[in-house]
Amino acid sequence: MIKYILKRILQMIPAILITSLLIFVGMNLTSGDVARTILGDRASEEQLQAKRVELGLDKPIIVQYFNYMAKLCTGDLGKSYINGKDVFTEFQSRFPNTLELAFTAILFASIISIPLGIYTAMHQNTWQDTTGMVAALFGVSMPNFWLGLLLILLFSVKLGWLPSGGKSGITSIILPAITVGLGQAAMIARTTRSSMLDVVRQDYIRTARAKGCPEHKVIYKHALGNAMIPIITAVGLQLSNILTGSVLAETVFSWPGIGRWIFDNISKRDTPMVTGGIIMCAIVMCIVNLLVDLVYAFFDPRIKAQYVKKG
Amino acid sequence: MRRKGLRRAIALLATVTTAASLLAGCGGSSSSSTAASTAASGASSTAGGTVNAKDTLVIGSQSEISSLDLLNNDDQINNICFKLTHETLLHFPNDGTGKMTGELAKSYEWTDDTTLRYVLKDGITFSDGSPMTADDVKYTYDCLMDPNKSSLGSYVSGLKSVEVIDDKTIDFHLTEHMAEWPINTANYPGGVIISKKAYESGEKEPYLIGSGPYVFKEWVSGDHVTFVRNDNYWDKENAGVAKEITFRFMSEDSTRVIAMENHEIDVCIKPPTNEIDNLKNAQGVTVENKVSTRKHYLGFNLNSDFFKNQTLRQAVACAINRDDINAAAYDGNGAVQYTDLNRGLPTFDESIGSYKYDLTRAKELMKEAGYENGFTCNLYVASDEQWPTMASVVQAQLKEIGITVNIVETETATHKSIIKEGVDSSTGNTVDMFIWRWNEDMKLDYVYGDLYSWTSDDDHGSANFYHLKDDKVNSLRWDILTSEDDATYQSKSVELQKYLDELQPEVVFCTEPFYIAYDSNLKGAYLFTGGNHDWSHAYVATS
Amino acid sequence: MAMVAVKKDTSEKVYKSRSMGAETWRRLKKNKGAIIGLIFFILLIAVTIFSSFYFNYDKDIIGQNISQRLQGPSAQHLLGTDQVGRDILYRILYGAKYSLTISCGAVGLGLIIGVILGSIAGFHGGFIDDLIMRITDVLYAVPNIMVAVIIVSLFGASTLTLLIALCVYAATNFARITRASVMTIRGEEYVESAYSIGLPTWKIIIKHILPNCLSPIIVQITLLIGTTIISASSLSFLGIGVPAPAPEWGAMLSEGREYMRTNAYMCVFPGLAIMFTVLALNLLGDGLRDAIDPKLKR
Repeated sequence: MIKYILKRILQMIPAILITSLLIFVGMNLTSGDVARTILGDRASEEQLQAKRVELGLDKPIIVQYFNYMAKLCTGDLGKSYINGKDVFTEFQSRFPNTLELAFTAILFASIISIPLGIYTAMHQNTWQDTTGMVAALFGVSMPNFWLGLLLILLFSVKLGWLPSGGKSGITSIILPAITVGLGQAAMIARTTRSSMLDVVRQDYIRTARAKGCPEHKVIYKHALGNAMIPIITAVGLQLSNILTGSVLAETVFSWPGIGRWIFDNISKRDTPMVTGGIIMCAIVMCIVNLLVDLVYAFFDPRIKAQYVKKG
Repeated sequence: MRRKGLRRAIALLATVTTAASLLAGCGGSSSSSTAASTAASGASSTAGGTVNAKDTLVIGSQSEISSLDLLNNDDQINNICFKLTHETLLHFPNDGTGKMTGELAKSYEWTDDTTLRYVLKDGITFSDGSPMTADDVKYTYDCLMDPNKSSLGSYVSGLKSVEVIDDKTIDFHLTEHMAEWPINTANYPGGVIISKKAYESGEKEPYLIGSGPYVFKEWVSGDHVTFVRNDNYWDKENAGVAKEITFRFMSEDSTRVIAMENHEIDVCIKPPTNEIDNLKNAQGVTVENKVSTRKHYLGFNLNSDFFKNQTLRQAVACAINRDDINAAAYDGNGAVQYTDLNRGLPTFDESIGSYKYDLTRAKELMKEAGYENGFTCNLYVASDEQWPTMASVVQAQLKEIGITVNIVETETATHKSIIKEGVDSSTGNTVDMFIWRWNEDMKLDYVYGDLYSWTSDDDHGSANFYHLKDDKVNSLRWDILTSEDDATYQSKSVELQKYLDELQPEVVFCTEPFYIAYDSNLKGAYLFTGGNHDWSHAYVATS
Repeated sequence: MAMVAVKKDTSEKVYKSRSMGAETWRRLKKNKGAIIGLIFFILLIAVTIFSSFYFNYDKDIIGQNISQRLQGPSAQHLLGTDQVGRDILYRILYGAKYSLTISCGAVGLGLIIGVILGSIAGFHGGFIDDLIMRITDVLYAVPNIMVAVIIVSLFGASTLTLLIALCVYAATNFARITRASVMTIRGEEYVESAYSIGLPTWKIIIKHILPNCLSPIIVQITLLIGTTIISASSLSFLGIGVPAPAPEWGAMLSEGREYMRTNAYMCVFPGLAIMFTVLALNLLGDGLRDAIDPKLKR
């Protein structure tokens, strides 16, 4: 098993290297004259050249890239060209906020969607089923930033129950989490339902019912466990979408997370912040994907066996 | 077998959630230090007796500060922080009289035509306990004059040298007699006294040491900046009242307004015009409304291939319907003007303006300029305040005379550096037009000098983003700056306004309406209609 | 292929077989949701074409009329006016053009690129497969909004760059599907025999392999168009999509946000347009999935 994990980590490395190379080169090609940005327009040509040498900008871009990656391994992502703040520190101070939002959203999504999926599967083709699935369909079709706006309109503007933005206590995470989570919930509900329907058709369920097992035991003891794998897949896939969704939710709710931070830095054309931020995101996503795969192994011994065998 | 799977699922979910909340908890100071209005209140003592005030004053600001380095930037949003932590020699009042009083200085006088002598008050100390002396004043002004140390050179233009006479006496030697010069010593930031000791000690952020009633506590990027009361403030009679003052950055207008209505913040800076009625109806909220001194304008870059042509600039001026822009941006509540001088300054002349809205005339002028068939150009605008709306109205209005405008929107600080250069470094395009603002309520020269003068590449107005290099403008400005009597001051200023009206380096739309909303129990706020508020003695009274 | 009894006047029953396309259509017709989706989508295309001809872009769509600004829905302006007096209904109708062209274009481009890359990867396996899969992994690792944001900030915001930025996500999806199908079918006997009689690789792929991937790809197309519409409007909402003053739905929502409290309709109607369009596509996509392979039907 450990071998498998190590192998996966090794496989992550080329992906991260390619991503970071593309981003580094791309951002640096478009950032204009960095020395001038830092020193201002009163600086003389010697001062500008000295700054360029100091920042390593006189070397070919590949060499710059390697230096950058070498520093990355020590946790040094450089400093902002605009206000000199350390990129890694800024990332670290905001990343937990996005994590908080992501987890709350997934929690909310799972709490709503899994029971809904089970219920509609058990009551297939009734009006409850249709209503549930239509609701899920709406959820998937709604752009989440619009949902955020509507939530602010209802709960903040009209009713005044919840804050409309910023991070200021337990109530301020509710609306952003719903915004990010509702779309996820819809996806997960649909997957749960189809997965449960699959499982429920199986012979062993029929046997259990024939043996007189009470319905709730049938669902929770026999069906749900096996249905979990596709559900976990769905949840895991949604995690990758969370970062996407969070950029929008963070913008609508002024939530101080990394999505919005990267985006703000792009408008400020603060290259080191953007480069560092996106590379960190890529690394985080790879780790998340790995963790999701490990969760599969946790649940399904057959998959675990596959991983172990693959070594 | 299945039950195990389910149990594992629940266990995993629980572990993950706990881990997440732990991570979030140790993630940073952000969650603990975001200030919602604290219910705790206490008695603060001032010389006049105890005042019951809320511990924290929370101000909802419309943008984030960009830097606390007061030698190298002068955006208004940063200036209001400096007013808490630092002080100037003289104090400029907000009542429109222009009568200054002593802040750090107890007196000043012209000892001869070009020398100003200031005497410091007794017992002034910095927040680190060290005393302020004439050396600190000299050090401050020497730094301001040095382009390697400070970008604020234009704030002290006309200053030749500073001489320390004794521990408390300083002489400012000017190059000419400049009647307005004492106002320079009341300026934020180019007039605040810094600590020589702090700067020379090699400290990383020496600009945090000031003599003011508050001291910097923390700046959480993207969220807020907080100042705590300086309990060792030297002027015991004028100490700050609130224990902490926090500026929360809330760039989303509606978020800020809602926070004000819910009293999550005590002051809402610049509520948008369309929200004013909601704020007026909110409980416990007072809304103030005045005409302000802050003008917004469409600037031309005279280095642009198109707009180096004066007739073309005049054509564009005739195509701009200022009333429509006022309506779109401020619901008509701004004050339209044609002259380039800021409203509220002496000699402001409402009657000046020969290029008013006239589409026929605009088209004629276009033809005369040689652009009968129209052209495409870019318009740079900052994505803040009402500027994007103004840009879209300008875009539509210029379409009527055949000019296709591409709007390039960037973040405010980026926008400022782009228009300063006149070139967009990321695309290599020359800036053709831009939208910007200028606020001035103190000195004529801070408009004429800063915006329009250009005597050499080393000596030009810090905000001359038009790259206007006109000898007549330079000489008129100089005449006003060094005028010996009131009559010259007035007549030259009117002459310059008329000349600028012909030159059209910019098309002023209007001044914004000044709105602010605050808790009805707010006291001690010292407001300027231009936005350079002084919060150092503000607090929310309880009971 | 299904067999259906056809009555002829002879006593012999002749079985007429229906092509897969016709069979799919037959099943699709039964699905009410899918039909609603299809009708809506066709209507949308009609509206797009109609709007391009009927409206005068300069006057009706971007023409400002400050005196009429911020008016609520009325007889004259059915959905109200925005902050510079433009009619919202007209802008929404015209705006369909952006959503459709950008999403269909991006998905189409992604389809071509993805299918080509996926077939090559699946067919050849080995190093090329690994390389292509690593690249798609990379593109999955960075959320698609970030990818789009980077591309747009490198090349400037315009409809074309938006299209290229959005096709990346579609391409990775199609590449994966194609590769999986190709790998499944690659080992089949008829493929081996085609190979052995000297048919060139690309002909084998096109004639034998692709038709079998068709079902998942078709379903994916409709679903991806929906997702891309949402992505495009998200980017415009963030300010890096279609530049002003174009009436793109996401951009309209972004402008309306400032007036949310006093003119809420500005934040509601463009969002409804997006939602119903994507809903229709999802209904159609779900219906297609069920119709193409009834064994998967719930």
